[in-house]
Amino acid sequence: MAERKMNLTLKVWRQKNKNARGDFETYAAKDISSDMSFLEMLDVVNEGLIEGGKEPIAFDHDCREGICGMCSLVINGQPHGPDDGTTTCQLHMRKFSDGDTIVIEPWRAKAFPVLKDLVTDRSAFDRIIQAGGYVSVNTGGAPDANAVPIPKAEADLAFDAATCIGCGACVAACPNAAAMLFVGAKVSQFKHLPQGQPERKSRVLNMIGRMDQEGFGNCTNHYECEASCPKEIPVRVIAELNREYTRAALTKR
Amino acid sequence: MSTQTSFNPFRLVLDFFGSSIGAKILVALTGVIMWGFVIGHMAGNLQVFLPAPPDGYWGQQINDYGHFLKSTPALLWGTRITLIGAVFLHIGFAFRLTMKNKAARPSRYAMKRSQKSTVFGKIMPVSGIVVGLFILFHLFHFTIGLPVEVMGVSNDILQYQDQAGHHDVYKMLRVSFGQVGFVALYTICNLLLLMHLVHGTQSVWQTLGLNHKSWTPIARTLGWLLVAAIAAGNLSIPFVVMSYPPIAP
Repeated sequence: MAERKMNLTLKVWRQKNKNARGDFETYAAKDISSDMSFLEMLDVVNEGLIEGGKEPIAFDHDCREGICGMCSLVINGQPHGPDDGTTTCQLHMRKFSDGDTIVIEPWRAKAFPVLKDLVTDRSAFDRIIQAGGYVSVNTGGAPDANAVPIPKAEADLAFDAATCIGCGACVAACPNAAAMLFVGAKVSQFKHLPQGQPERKSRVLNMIGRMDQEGFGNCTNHYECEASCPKEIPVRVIAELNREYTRAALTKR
Repeated sequence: MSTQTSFNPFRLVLDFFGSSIGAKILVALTGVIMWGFVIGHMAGNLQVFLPAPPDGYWGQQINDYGHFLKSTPALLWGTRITLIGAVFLHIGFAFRLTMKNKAARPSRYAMKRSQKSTVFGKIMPVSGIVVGLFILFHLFHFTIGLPVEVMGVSNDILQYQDQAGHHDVYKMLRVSFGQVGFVALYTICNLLLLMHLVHGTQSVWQTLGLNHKSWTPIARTLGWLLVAAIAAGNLSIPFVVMSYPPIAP
């Protein structure tokens, strides 16, 4: 596809700090190449702001290749923008047209407070992982990878869930700011593997306990999370989460 | 020595329903109980269309059914108590979850584009409240007696008696649904009930943890068919009864 140049209008959420009241500011993004990523477009806008002596727009990013889970942004009402199965860093400007107005907001959830502009504090996810999203591996020689047989179908289910990068788009998209797709993915990932079995019950109990404490909402089966997940995690993992939690809660020792 | 702590079933169940997932499951289970009632209630009411038995009269079958229910207190009160329990738990826990959901998003998006939500899902709290109020009205209308006259219908309709000396349910329905206003009210409220049931039917399997690549689409199709059957059955009653010739109260 040939490169196009476009001029855009951005409406960006600006918020000085956690306690400040935020509001939208309008910026012109001129001469944007269709080959840029969305974040590169923001970089260009920030260069202009810095040259003009203004505070650049703060946004989260790291790997810029869609695997770290740092980038976020609700773009025109959709987490990670209008493209399916992509993160904001992999969203290309060719998805937009010359003259478009683009509304850019941070993730909005009580559990993800805005730190500055478009940057939110997603450490609630870290605390859920700390509560049980791991397997305990004690010291000793590492067993051979093929010593523990895992059926292919189970491995695939575990891997589908394990592709979660913890970006929080599911929470941002959910009408209730629920984190159940995220927690479901983490629980499902281990549930389908032999290594996950020893901590199977305590894991789901502790992770849900933490999730409830953090102030996330509750799933009402709209499946907006599945639609906006850059890794296309299926809502199947939420059903698994419900089942795992019920089993663990009623049979815990 | 076992490290197992003592088993306390009450503690386990209370802890479970106190959690987010437990609360959701309670709403789903009480919803299933009410679904069962909706089917039974419709099946019972459709007897209004049964023809007169030999040497009998029109409406005798539903009047006899009403008499059977009233003279079987174990069945009548067993059902009533189960339903009242289910209704209160369903509303209470749905309200609690909804409040938490609202609190989880204190600041709203300036622009939000939904991709998969349906109107049925979005209006669940509203359709639930309307259906709840309608059920109260319905109970006053046909069971307790209306405290005031509504569209020419008063609590007199509960006093009608048929030839056997049983409550004349058939005449009560004909007098009520002879009024277009009642037909309109029952139609609108039934449509909201159906919308509530659409999202409920689609949600219940997922919430109870039953999601399967092949079975879930079948269960969802069956859910739609069930809702369609309830729509046809429930709405046929006011419309067909309205089309009968007028009857003197």
